Amino acid sequence: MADSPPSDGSRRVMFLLRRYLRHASQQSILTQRSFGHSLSCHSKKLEAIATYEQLVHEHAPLISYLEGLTAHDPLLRPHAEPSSEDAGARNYKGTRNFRIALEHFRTLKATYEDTVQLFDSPELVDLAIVETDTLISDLRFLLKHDLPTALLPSSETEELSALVELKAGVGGSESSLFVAELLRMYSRFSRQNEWEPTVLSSSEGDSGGFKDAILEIKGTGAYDALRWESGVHRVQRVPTTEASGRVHTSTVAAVVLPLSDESRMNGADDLVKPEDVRVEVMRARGAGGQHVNKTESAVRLTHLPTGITVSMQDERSQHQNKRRAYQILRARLMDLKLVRDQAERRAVRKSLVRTADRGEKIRTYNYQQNRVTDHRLGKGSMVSCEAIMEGVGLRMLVDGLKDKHLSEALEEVLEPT
Amino acid sequence: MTMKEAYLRLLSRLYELYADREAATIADWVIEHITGMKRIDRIVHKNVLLSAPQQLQLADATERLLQHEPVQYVLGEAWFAGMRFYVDRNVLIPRPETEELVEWTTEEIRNTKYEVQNQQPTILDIGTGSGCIPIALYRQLLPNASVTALDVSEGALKVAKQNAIALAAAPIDFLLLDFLNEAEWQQLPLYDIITSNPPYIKQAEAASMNRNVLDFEPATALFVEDNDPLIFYRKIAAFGKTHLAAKGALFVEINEALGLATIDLFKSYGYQALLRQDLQGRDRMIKAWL
Repeated sequence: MADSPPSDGSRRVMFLLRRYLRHASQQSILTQRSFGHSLSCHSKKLEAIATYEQLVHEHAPLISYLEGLTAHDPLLRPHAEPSSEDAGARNYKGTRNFRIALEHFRTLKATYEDTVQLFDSPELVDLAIVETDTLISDLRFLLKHDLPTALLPSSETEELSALVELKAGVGGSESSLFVAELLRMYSRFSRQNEWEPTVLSSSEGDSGGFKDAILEIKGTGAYDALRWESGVHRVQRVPTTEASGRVHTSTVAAVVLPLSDESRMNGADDLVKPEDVRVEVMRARGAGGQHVNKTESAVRLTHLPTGITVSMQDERSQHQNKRRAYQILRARLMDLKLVRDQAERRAVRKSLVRTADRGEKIRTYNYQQNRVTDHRLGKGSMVSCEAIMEGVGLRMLVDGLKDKHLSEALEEVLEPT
Repeated sequence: MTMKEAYLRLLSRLYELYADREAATIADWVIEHITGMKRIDRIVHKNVLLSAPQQLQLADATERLLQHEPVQYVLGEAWFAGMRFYVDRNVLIPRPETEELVEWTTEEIRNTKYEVQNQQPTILDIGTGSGCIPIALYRQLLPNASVTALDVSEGALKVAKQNAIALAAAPIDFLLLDFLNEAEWQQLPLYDIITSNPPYIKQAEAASMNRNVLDFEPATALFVEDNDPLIFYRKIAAFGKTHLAAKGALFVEINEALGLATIDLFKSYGYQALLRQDLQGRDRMIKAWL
């Protein structure tokens, strides 16, 4: 920090002094001192330093990357103001958010270094404990969240809505019932996030529940939040119909697809070329037009280049079924494109970003022990069954998976190519 | 009676009249209409009981359906181009093939790019019935179209106006007019686009048709004389000669058995004409232009 201007240092001292006085008046710490105190002070100092070192160690690649940037890019030196021309021409390094986060990081780091010195003055120890604690947790958030977010290019899919397709797997009617429960879970979660859930199609299971269902979730960010829900969800519990009380294991497969705003999909960048799609109606053979009045209006689309077929029959007219079917086809094609793009990037970078294979078990809902475990997040991710079904627990897992993705994506950026 | 029981009871009665999937869809629509619950909600709440008024409504609907009355008249609603139209026995129930005609017409109007030349295409629909064609066109071209619709039936126009108010905030002009009477044409100006789904079924074809159509839908909207089945197309072709604006076009729905005959008719009036199939692969619509 040799190059930081003096005004910065004195600002920091003033800031600390103010907080100290406030703290002191609350705790009356100036009057209560004892001998044993200084020993515990020393151990507290070591504790704080250890926590800080651990944090720095965990994020070493990011920190050294940031230091490297600063050395090579004059614009990122403290207090550098880019001209508007520069700002426009630069990539993410020049973006405002990143510079703010970086500036914040530097200030916190410097303040931490100053604060640690306070452990050596007996009357300031209590303040030091509180302050280092706050500073370290602020730094942790910055390193885990703000800096990676600002450093990574913004998500191409951040605007998109989502389609969640659920299919009953092994476990018969238990599995169908779980489809219905997941459907409710995602609907509730959507409403909590002010997205708009609509069931587009569903087919009923033999004894209640659904064999399969498609849920549309309209709203900005729905896809980015839910994309990590793709994979096999496993439920372990005693079915209500099971007299012997034996625990059954059943599965539901989820696929989350990106859904674009329809009004933006009819332009040149539309993934679906009309000539590539065969449209069929599935009405019984016989006359049409004015001769007959039938309610049947199912439509099937076949995308010839990929062989993807989509059928839709739950809407009230042929026109609506066709529109819906196109919407789902676009989502599938967009999904294919994203998977392909990702594979290409990975091939270039040779890094190992793990995305869930769709057949992979991603989560277990164990009702006997009332806990849900996300296998990608490990033991730290356990929440209760009620919590996840009510949406709160799902929020925790969704955030955890997002952060995990963020740190993996960051590895990709930090890795020298 | 729970919703599930009500559904199954209605379904078992409908099997007497309709094929399985048709019966299932009709039952579904009726229960949804009465309970206000979509299928998904009904599956989740399948043990919810029907109230006494709902049970009466269901009994009444069942009675009417068993007389072969179309479900759309029983419920007073038909879906067309994503919109719910009111329908009763004054009007033909909109068909999916007509949705395809509207789609084609919309595409062609968009491709003409009237808005680039700062123009609003004027559209006329002949024999409008429920108003499904002009209302759907208006809604899809919003606000770049000026739309007029005519019908010979006062009852039909009443329904069409009601739909226009509900679905298009009513900027559509409706005219009570007998289109077959050429003297009436004088009051009409030039149009860029003329659409029509005129009656096109020969009396002789009635024998192969179902009671839900024959006994309930307005015969004037369906049938033409066996010896002159193209009468409406002949009149439309003649009308177009004097009322189609430069670069204008006609879009009409046709009898699948009369595709080539109808094309020939338009050609004999000096039109260029294009025949198109519906999604079932049948000759169903024609675009004609001078």
